[in-house]
Amino acid sequence: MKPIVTVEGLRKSYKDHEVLKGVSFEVKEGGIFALLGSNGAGKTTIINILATLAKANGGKAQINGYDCFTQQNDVKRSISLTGQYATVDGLLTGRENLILIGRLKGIKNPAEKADELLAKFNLTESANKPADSYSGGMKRRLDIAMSLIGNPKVIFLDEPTTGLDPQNRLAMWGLVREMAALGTTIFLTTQYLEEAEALAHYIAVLDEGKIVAEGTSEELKELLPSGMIKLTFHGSELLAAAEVALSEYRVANINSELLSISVLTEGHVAELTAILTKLQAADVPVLKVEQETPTLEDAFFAIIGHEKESN
Amino acid sequence: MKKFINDVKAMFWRCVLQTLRNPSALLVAVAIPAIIMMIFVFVFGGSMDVGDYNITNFLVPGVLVNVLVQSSQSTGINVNQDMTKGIINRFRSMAIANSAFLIGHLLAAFIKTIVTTTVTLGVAFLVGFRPTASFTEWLIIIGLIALFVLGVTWFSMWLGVSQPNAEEVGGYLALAAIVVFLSPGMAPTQNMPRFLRYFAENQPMAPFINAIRALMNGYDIAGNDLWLTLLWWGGITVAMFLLTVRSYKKKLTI
Ligand SMILES: Nc1ncnc2c1ncn2[C@@H]1O[C@H](COP(=O)(O)OP(=O)(O)OP(=O)(O)O)[C@@H](O)[C@H]1O
Ligand SMILES: [Mg+2]
Repeated sequence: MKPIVTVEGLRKSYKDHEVLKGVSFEVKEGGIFALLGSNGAGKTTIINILATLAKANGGKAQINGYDCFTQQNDVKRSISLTGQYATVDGLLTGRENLILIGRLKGIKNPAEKADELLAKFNLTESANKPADSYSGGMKRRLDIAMSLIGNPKVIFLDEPTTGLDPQNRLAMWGLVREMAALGTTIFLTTQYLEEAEALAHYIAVLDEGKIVAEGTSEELKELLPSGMIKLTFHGSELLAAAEVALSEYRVANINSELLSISVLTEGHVAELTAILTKLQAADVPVLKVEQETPTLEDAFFAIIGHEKESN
Repeated sequence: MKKFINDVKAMFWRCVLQTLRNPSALLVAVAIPAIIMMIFVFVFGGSMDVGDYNITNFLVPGVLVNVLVQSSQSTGINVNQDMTKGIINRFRSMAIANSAFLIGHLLAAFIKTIVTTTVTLGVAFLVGFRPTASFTEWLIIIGLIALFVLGVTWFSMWLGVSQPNAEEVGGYLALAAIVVFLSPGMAPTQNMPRFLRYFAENQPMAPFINAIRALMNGYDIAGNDLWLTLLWWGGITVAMFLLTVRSYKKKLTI
């Protein structure tokens, strides 16, 4: 199947600050694609370029067969954008917001469509209140309802659950799945690995302006080392010394409060012996040794940490 | 073209709704100048020498300018909110002309002006406003007011686009509304200190105020007031339009 979104060697700088350093990935039509990355990784920048809001400094981007740089109007007609910060008009009511977008998209019956979406998104009760009076979750729902108007091929959701409480987050997951079930391609960004894992059919991990890993969540899990050893020390100097002594290992996380360091392994006992020997040779006494099972989150940090070393 | 008109109509509808959502802004814009007018008429009215004019007839142009500047505040503030909150990003990701957004605000500003001008003249009438302008003179008055509003609205939209927040937009426009007191609008300029008098008689609002005052009272427009009004406010409109477009484009480049 032909990809609906193709990104190749995308580059973007703000003055001297290189934000995207050659990003490449593809999104297949249908299903949910998640772009996973921590704060400042460049997720919004990528979405802005794909949605034709921002200019790239290099590379290629195509949506639905149209070039994001030269065929912007065709691209715009193929997408909808729900930005990271509420893209609704706070002075207008929820219903008016929906009618506005319907009119701008030139659909036949904006008012009818608005009422249908209000019902679907559980907003009928507040339909005639200004959107500024909505709670965060309601605003998000309205925002996404607005994105559904005009049957776009790709819907961009920039961090759709950031700032939502756990209950609203679960509800949002349900909505995203429903939208995908209708056949629309969902392109979402998130900082939460568990969210990407729960929702996405395909995940790309963005770190410091590059895709550092991609695949289905099963494929990403295979990158997982099978074991992890957590070592705890007496003081922060010892922790620092241990970090140096274990520099050739993949470290999933260092906790300076608990004075612990988690090292990824292949799950062999011999590795444990080797690690302890290393520490002994470096004169670093260990307070506690624990065997742990790594999570996808550990894999995520391991991938990012690993990449950072090689940069 | 059909799509463009459709988009402008939708944007216009939206901006009118925005204005209706905040009726107190309009009320304040009309109430403050109306109160000022009443104070001038009833408190200072007896002691002010305004020549051949009935005191209310003398004050109406100045009060009107004040109203028009005040009521343009909400346009700038609404533009600013649109630009700084996320909605502009949604518009930009849709296949609509970028200009539709600004034109919608501009058209809504005119609707607002019609309302505030009518209310102001109505209040003025209650406190003694008795214009003697002919039909043609009224047409010229309306034309000049429209040009003035165009200039002030583009100024307001420029502030809305370029300023980081609504407080600044409101602040600059409040300042502009005060400048009307340094004009022939609220008091004759003869008694002002020399420097203030020079400013009051030559600032861009002066020929506009003089021209509509003369027209409303059936006098000939003195000297160059008509041409100066057209030049000043035509020039300000063009300049503010260009500044707005430049600033808008710059803000949209990310
Ligand atoms: N308009 C801009 N001018 C200068 N720098 C910018 C601009 N927009 C973004 N940046 C920088 O680009 C980097 C990536 O920003 P971006 O918003 O794409 O990150 P993000 O992954 O969306 O982060 P978050 O999770 O916080 O939303 C950041 O370091 C940010 O400071
Ligand atoms: Mg972001």
